[in-house]
Amino acid sequence: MIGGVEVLVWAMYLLGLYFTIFWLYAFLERYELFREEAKSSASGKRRLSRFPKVSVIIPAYNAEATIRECVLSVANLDYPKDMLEIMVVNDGSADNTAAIVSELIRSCKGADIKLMSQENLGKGAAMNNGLKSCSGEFFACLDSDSFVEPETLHRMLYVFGQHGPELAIVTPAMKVFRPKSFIQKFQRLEYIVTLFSNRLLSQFDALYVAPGPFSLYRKSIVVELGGFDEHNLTEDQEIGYRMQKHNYGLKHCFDAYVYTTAPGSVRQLYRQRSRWWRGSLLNFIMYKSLFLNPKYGHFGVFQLPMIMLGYITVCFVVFFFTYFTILPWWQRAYELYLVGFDLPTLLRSINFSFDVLMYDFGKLFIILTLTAFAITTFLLAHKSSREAVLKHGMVYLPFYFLFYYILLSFMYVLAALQLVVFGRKDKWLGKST
Amino acid sequence: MARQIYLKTYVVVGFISLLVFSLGFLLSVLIDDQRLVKVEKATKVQELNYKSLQFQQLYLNTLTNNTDSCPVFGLSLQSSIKSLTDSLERMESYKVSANFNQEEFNELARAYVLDNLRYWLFAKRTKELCDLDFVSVLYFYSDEKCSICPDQGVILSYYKKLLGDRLLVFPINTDLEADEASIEMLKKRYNVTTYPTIIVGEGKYEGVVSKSNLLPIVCGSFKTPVEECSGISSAILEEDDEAASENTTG
Repeated sequence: MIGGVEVLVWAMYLLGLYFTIFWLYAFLERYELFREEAKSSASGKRRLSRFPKVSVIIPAYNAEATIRECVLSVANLDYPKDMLEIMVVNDGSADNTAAIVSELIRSCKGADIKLMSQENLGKGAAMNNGLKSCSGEFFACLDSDSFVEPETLHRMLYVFGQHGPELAIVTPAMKVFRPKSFIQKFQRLEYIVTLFSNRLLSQFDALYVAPGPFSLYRKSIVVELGGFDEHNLTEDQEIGYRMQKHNYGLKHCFDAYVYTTAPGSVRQLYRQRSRWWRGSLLNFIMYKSLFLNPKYGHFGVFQLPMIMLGYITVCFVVFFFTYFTILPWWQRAYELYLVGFDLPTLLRSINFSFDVLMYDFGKLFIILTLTAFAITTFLLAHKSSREAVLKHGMVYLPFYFLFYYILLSFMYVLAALQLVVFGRKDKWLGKST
Repeated sequence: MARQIYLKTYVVVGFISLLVFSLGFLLSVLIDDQRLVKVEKATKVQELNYKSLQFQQLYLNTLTNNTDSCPVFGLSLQSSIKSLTDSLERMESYKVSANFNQEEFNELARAYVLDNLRYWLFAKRTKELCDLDFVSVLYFYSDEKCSICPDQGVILSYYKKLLGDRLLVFPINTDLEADEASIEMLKKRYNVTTYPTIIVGEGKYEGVVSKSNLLPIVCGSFKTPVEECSGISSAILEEDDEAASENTTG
């Protein structure tokens, strides 16, 4: 008979294998397509036949440190100036954000920069205010601590041109801006892997998040669906779910790069992820009618169950790590205490004999297979986003693979507990960090 | 937007996943079976060792009628008990990590309890016959009913490392008492009602005996001075002997 914990372990192995193999298989099925895309991107063939009016809305709250660079990156987009409107919505900042933007309006001749002000109501409200006043056929949202590359808008509009009028959102390829700390370097890798999965999700019409840094929207559809949810912790995800519910499309543009400032410390990272996770749970519950609903195709029958499995997996990661790592180490420490920390005696006549049967080769085989698939995905993700694997050296790679996702799992479980105990109280102000 | 379900992809991926999973699962079954075979083999070796010791004791009793062969006999006994302890530890580790064959491992655990009891009796008789200077500890524990028992196990293992062959520990898993009547017999003999309980000589000690409390008990049971006990003054030993006799009920 297999015990309860064993059944869970084997079940997690099977599910882990299924979803890892799914992404690799999906990639291999579309290998030629991705290669063609990369070729046409590199050759500069992806040109626009027309230049529609685009508004870039920048909600800004106490953003004096980054707002100048953020606005300038938009002003420097490779796009006709008369077809580009930049709208900074000052969300009740107490610092010099408004003054810096006013100075930019004076100094950037030829760029159509506008400044709107509102009392501090959060990002969703700032976006809706910007939406009411902007004149573009398309509009982009840009977090005030993020920056775009000159070709980004051009490439994203090209994706709109490739699809019909039901395509509502094109998401960018988001990377971490100048990672310095260990935590930022981990996030850099995480974002690169996410880019790869977004590229695949896009193929399955299963994207459900329009990231704050420069997602591009077809304005008419967003207005038709009532704009942004001002009371949502992750309004960029809620609008993704809403688009899915109303059968509007989301696509990912793999070569439209945008850089965002990632949290630099564990504390900042927790603050960010706690909001993401709680928002994600609330949105999942809000849109539960889509779950396993064949009317929503792959998104309903595969992606949403996968998201739910993700929630369960992080709980298991926390449980297994505690059960198989923290508790045994705690036990060893307690045993040392029981014998008065007399290490020399304990190390006496230590048995170094190697018993091959002590290892469970079955589980080891599955773990190694999973690791091989994970590393393959990791390398493919780097190739897909044109990033060097060893850009920041090798030191942090083992920590990334061994501890980063465990750290995130603990954060996620804490955030879920925070949600259960305190409910949702905070307001999202529109900065990635 | 037209929606699609990629049934063919789900099925193909499911097939590949099941294939990899089955390979892993099969390997686990094979490893578990190999573990069982190894422990069963070790049990047979224990049986042979025991028969050899029985013969040596018979030889001592009937033919030589003196204690000239005692050192050799003592060494054989120590070596057999060490081998028993090692196999028991291995069997316990296998049992903990076993995915399958739990029932078989439980049966083997019962066999090991019997082996421990046999060796305990054997050690008692040999100690008298050959006037050997070692201390036997009978350790009653329960995995199911006693959460503090592992603490006693840790302390006993520590002293086993410290004193080596001069301390013989015979662990008795009382969870197997329903299947093994001899456990009940011994429990009655020493009136064991709580776990952990250790029997050192004829002294019974209930609850976890800490490292500092166990040392004088063990050291006080040696006939000749032992280097590891040199830190304990004779006054403490005498004091402890009195305390131990008050605590003794067996």
